[in-house]
Amino acid sequence: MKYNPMKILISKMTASANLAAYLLAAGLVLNLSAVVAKEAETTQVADAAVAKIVSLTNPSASYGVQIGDKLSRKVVLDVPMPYQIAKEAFPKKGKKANGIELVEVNVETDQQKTRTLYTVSLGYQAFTNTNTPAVMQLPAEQFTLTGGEKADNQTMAIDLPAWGFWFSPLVSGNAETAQKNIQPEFTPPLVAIGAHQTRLILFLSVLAASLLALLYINADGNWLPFMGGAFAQAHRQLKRLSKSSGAKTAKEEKQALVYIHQAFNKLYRANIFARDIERFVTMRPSFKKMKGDIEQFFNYSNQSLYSTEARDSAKVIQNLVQLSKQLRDCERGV
Amino acid sequence: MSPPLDAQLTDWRSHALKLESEVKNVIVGQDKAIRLMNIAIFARGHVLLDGGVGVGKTTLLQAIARGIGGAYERIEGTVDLMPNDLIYHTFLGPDGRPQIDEGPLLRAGENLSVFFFNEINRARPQVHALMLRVMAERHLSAFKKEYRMPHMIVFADRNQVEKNETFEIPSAARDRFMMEIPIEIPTDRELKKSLVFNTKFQHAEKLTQQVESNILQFDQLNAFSDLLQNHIKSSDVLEEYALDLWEATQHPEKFGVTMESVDVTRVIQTGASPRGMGMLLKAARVNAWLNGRDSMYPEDIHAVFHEVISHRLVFNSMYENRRTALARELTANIMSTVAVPSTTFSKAA
Repeated sequence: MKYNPMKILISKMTASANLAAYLLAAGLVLNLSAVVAKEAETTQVADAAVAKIVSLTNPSASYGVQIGDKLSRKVVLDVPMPYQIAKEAFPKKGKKANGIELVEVNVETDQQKTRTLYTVSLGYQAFTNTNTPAVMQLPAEQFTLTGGEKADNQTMAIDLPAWGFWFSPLVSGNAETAQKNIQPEFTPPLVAIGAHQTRLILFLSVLAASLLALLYINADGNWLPFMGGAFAQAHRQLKRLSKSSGAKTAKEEKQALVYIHQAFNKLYRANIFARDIERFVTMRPSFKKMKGDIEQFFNYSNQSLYSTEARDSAKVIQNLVQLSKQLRDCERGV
Repeated sequence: MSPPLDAQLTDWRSHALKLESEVKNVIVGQDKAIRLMNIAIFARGHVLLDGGVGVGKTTLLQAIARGIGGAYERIEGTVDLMPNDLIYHTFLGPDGRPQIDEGPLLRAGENLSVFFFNEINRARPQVHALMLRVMAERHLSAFKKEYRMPHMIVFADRNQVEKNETFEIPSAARDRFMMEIPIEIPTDRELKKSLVFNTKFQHAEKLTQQVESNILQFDQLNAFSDLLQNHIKSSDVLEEYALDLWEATQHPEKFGVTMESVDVTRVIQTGASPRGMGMLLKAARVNAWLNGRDSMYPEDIHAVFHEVISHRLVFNSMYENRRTALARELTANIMSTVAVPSTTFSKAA
């Protein structure tokens, strides 16, 4: 039997098997670019009279293999009768050689009339820890045939050639090494949220404005700088007065009137009397709609403050609370 | 038996308003002055009219005197006028012998209701002294007997424009007048036109004759005035306010009163006197009554404040030349600044 790498050989076991594997690896290095283009390498056997490899499937890439990577080979053997491959002749799981460990062996047998087809799946894992790129190989395997005629002192076998590849070690080193090898980091592409953001800002703005408006219109407290108007203050004082315990006397009634008079004086920037109402509403047009009520108030105030007729003070104070609220609304331009 | 109080008040009020109305018919553009003079009549206060020449002061006084009823006497202030000229005058009788007769002040006796002193500032201080004493006491001893003039009201006028041969009335004397009423030319153009082109305004005597005479019963005014003063009430708030106003005439800066052209702390030497404040409230009560009320409002005080108070204020000498304008500004600012109801009341409550 002649040695031909492109054919299935049944040969004697020789010590030069490893050398042949190295030569194959060297060839792979020289023709790396060609090898990259290939998806899988299959070896066909032409001679059907002898046992042969029907097909061989190697890993798809012979580069970029790192420690821990799994590499699989699948070979289909055609063994004519009466030859067969003993179960013990297949490689054993756990076999290690040159940093490569056989971690998986799976054999399927298809017995036919004149021959037997063996589908052998071999799984390897790289465990070498070299610091530099290195050429490695999945080891050559030999499937010994039994059961047929054979020459003396000779073993009939099918040789599965080694398969070379480039081992790429993980970078080992310190922070300096990492810095040298650092690559620019690309930010992940962001989801476009501009429209949502605009709507959210708009909504929150409207919400905030509405809350402020409600606060401005209805709140009694002096929570915002422009809420401390003269009538707002008077309204607060009157509410406190109306809620105070005890029966309301003429003194408290007069006090309530004083609060509103003080508010008027503050806005008018002078002492205001009934004769000044026209000038007041001209100066503060927002109070124009209340002119009648203001006149009524001054009329009532004069009677209360300067005459001696008795009145229901509690009711008067309650009315003044209402009036001060209306005047506060005018003051706030509501 | 006297009629009920309410009826008296109503009856007198209608007469008072009628007097105003009658005078307004012949004196145009002086409504405020007429109301103030009406107030003075019922508050029994003397009045000093202040104004230029030919603005109708005399006609106004004559018209009012006719409405009040009673005797009306008049004297012209001149530089040679002496006090005795008010009390008596001498003349040769039909028999050729010198005779002495009572002067204008005594002639009408108790029937004197209006004494008009024209251009009082032309008279000498001796005359002022006599006149002011009579104004205060309303009686005088002469010819070894006591002359009483219980119903007399003095209306004096003063020409502010001409200063030659005049004697300024001292502040103590001015204090005797209840009011100093400015008589100004009307600002309304139609009124001015009427005053110039309507011939009825050019005959003062005829004009005053149109006023119904004896509208008021002059000899009952004193009694009714007392009644009125007792009837009109003032609340504690108003009393506080009046006191604040008084204090503001003395120390305007305490109440935040300011003046545009001068430092307010330097203007006032002396504020209103107690007599002045008493007169202010008397006049304010009359105003309340004329407005149909039985309680005084701040507006009643305001209606008479300037006219009752301004001539009582004693300014530092450097400001005397500008008295009229400064007094007007100060009283106006006091009324607009002093708060009512006052903050004092607020705190006390």
